[in-house]
Amino acid sequence: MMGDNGNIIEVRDLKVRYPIFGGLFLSKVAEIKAVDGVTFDMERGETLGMVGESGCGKTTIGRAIVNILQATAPDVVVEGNIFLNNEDGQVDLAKMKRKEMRPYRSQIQMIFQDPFASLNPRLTVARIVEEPLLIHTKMSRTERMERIGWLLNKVGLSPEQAQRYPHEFSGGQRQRIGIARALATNPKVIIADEPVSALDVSIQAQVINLLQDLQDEFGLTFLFIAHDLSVVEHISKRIAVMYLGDLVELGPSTIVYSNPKHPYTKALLSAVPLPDPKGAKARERIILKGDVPSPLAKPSGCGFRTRCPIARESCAKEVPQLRDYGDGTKVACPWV
Amino acid sequence: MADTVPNKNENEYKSVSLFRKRLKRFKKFKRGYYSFWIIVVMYIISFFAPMLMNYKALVVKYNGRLHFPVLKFYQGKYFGQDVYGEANYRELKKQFKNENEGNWVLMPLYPYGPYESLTDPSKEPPNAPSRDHWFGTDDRGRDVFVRLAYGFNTSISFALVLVVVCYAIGIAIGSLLGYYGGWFDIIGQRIIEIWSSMPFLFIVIIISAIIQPNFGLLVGIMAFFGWTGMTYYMRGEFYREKAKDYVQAAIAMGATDRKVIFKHILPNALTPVISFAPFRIVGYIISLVSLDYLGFGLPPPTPSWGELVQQGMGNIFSWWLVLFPLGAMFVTLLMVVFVGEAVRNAFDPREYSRLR
Amino acid sequence: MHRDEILLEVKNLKTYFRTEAGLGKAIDGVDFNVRKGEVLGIVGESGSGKSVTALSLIRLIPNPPGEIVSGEVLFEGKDLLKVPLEEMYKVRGRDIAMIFQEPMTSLNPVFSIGFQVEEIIRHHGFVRESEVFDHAVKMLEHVGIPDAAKRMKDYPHQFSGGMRQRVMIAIALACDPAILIADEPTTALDVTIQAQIIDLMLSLQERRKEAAIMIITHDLAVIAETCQRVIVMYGGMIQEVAEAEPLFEEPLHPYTIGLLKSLPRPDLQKQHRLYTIPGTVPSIIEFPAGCKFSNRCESVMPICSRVEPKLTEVEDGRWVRCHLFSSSPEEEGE
Repeated sequence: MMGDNGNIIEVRDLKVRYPIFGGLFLSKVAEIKAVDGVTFDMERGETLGMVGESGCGKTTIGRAIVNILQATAPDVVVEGNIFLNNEDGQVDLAKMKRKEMRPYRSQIQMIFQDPFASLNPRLTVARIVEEPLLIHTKMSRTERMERIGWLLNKVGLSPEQAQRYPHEFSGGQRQRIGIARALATNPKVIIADEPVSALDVSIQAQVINLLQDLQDEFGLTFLFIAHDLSVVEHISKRIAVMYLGDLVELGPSTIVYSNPKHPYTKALLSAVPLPDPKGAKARERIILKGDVPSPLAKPSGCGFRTRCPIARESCAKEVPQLRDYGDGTKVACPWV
Repeated sequence: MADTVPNKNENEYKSVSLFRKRLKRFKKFKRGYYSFWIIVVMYIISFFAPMLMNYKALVVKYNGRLHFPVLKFYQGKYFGQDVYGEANYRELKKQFKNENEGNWVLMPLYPYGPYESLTDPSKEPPNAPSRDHWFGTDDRGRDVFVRLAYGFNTSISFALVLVVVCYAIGIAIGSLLGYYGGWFDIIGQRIIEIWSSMPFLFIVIIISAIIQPNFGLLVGIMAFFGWTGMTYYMRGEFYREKAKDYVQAAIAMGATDRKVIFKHILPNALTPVISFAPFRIVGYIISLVSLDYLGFGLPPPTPSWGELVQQGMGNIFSWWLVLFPLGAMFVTLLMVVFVGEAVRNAFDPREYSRLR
Repeated sequence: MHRDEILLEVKNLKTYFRTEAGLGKAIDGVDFNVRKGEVLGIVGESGSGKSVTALSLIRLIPNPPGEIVSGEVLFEGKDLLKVPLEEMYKVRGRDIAMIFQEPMTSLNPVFSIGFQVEEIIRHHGFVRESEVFDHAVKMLEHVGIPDAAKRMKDYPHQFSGGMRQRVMIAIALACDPAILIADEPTTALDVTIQAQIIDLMLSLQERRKEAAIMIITHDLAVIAETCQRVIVMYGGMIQEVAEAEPLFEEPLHPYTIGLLKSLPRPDLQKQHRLYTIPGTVPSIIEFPAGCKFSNRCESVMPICSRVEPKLTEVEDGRWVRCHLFSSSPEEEGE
């Protein structure tokens, strides 16, 4: 192993922009800054939680790491670096073409939000879970079938269910199939994009426990993307808070949760409803004004200043940089 | 893991693929299901039309030897008949019966051919239906029933071949546009728009004025212009399916373009185009009838529905020339529409519900 | 409970769906009251029947495949399930208003926002024609749409998701309804918007004191923060009814207990593993006989899979459908 700093993924000043073409000659008329200069690391074996509201760029970061943005948006512009530290050294995934990326895909896998859209309805479970094995291994058919049975067992399904089709399963079971598929090639990193938000409350806990068990067993590193702060706080060692393409706060989850620093994090946490009617009355709520601005018309300077309770004039001029706060957290606000 | 309750009767569980589910729904739609089988059976039978409706005998026993005139040409003189050219087997049958020398003729069930002028010296054609000619004869004395039957085969074959060709081209091009997107898609689409704005009917008319079209050429001309419509659907479907997570998952796994297209997107993207294939068939049958009606279709004397309809228009008082061709067309198209309805119902079951 | 405190009374409501796979008893005998001036929460997972209950109240069940099989919905002395459809047109929007989950599709994209707010005011003749515009502007201002008078001419696509949900609330509140039913009003919204939207819905009671608000959601936390009384549904039946505070402090039904325990609680001591309810929520045609929760229940007894428990009152205003709480479970059998 190389000079190991303990990080498996290092994201450096990642920018993702979607140009918008219009007019008679289809010239670039605007661009969406989905991710606007984000830097963070993922330590080996940790769960990094990423929270933020719709349009904050959290999903885009996840998809940039697995390098599938180009598939739906051929014009997407990705800048910065996404370093993957593996046995052979460091590689930058950010601008890799699909062919170059292929050898690394077995190490980074993804779990999707919608368990009804993430499985091909025409393939049996066996064929769905088999696909990564076909691509990345030279296993024989019997070896593959054996591995599929083992994987299904691991995620809490019975191997006899392998010949069934996705529509014959419930949402929670389908999510398990998606997890089995992601595990097939023994990945090191799993990007979990809202893996439980489409599931029923009583099923969410099952899937969260499953993910934790698998992490303990295989030493997986998770990027856990979600909008539900309670879930993220539960599963993550560290939390990254996103707002409008910027990383505004990053730190150990207990500290971020008990002592939020960035005004957005404070508002976000105070807005999370808790199943506790008595506590709800005691809690003080910060209600933000207005809506999240469209990423097409991102405010100058600090993206949050239009809704920020402590905004000052200078916020419009300078983009705040992440700085160390001292207790292990990093905050992108000069006033806290 | 402890989180799941194992299914009790795992072994009895029968897995149902999407295809089987749809097949079951298709079967449930009775009028479409039966229409489907009627058309299939009739179409298969229509390939044996030369055995069933022909002026040529199936078997002739003459002087102790068997002959198969359906398969081989025989001079009339060969059977001792006093005619020039091919033998008249209906006459031969009567003759053999009268002679009673152990010779016999086995005629098809309906012993008249599609090209034969059955001129009855006592009456000018077209002749009204009779016991011999169920649907009467046309203005050249040809049996309408036989011509309709042969025309059925031509019409369905034409539409089927055309659908297959148009789908193959349209699906291939539409899929590529939708999958690769970007500038490739924008330029490709503009070309298709230009292509599809060519005045198709006039080009067909001009071409058929220069060269006599035959079945293959007509299919070729129609397909040349007909495939464009399919690309729009496929392109749209590919765009939609491509954005779905299961495709993203395949790409994130490192699947090649070919695998993503053929294993993942295509089977799911075909749903809508399959569900309106029967309606396409209806459209193409009508196109062929129209071209034949206008005289720019298959060359005479090919038995065709359009030509019969045209005769009906020319002899409007010979009711059988109007009623039977239009009736046959109506029934056939209606059945294909029923099939289409059933297919659509199988793919996209919709309950027509009200709020009350 | 005084009779005149009751605004809406639902008795033995049953709505079934006839599907290809079989008969789905979406709700199978639901009884409850809506009291004046209360905020009532109905909580349940997918397939619990909570949304079907709401839609049945105002007869918005698509038929086929759905059908309200039996029951009564008594409102102002009338059974809403029996009155002619013409009368329902007057009730919907005027007396009982509804807010749906999806703010993106709940507004008609071809009409301006102003037209859609005015339409309901005009339809019910809530104010004189000359005042319709002003009333619509007032409603939009009330829900916090800046420059409301100017934005009346705008179309839905010019509004963000949160703004559209505000417009939906403006429409729902336009005629000061007696009952506001909100079906998953916050699910599609971001956390920081959710609180704003709930506050706006609750503002109905400032305008009309005895109005009741029904919030239907899968999110227990939203219920905890907003509702005074809670109905917990599972398998198309009411499993527990209680005031919010006792329910969250000491849930009685094993399902409610499991549901609350399985939520991650960042405000409490951190546990490594979450509690889980075993199994999956069955589809509505596959619920077990007897108690609907019996195949997933930790406290299951032999009787549970045979006999359906009755909804029994264990304390004043506290109802539970569970054999653990029925006084003598054996008597109920056969």
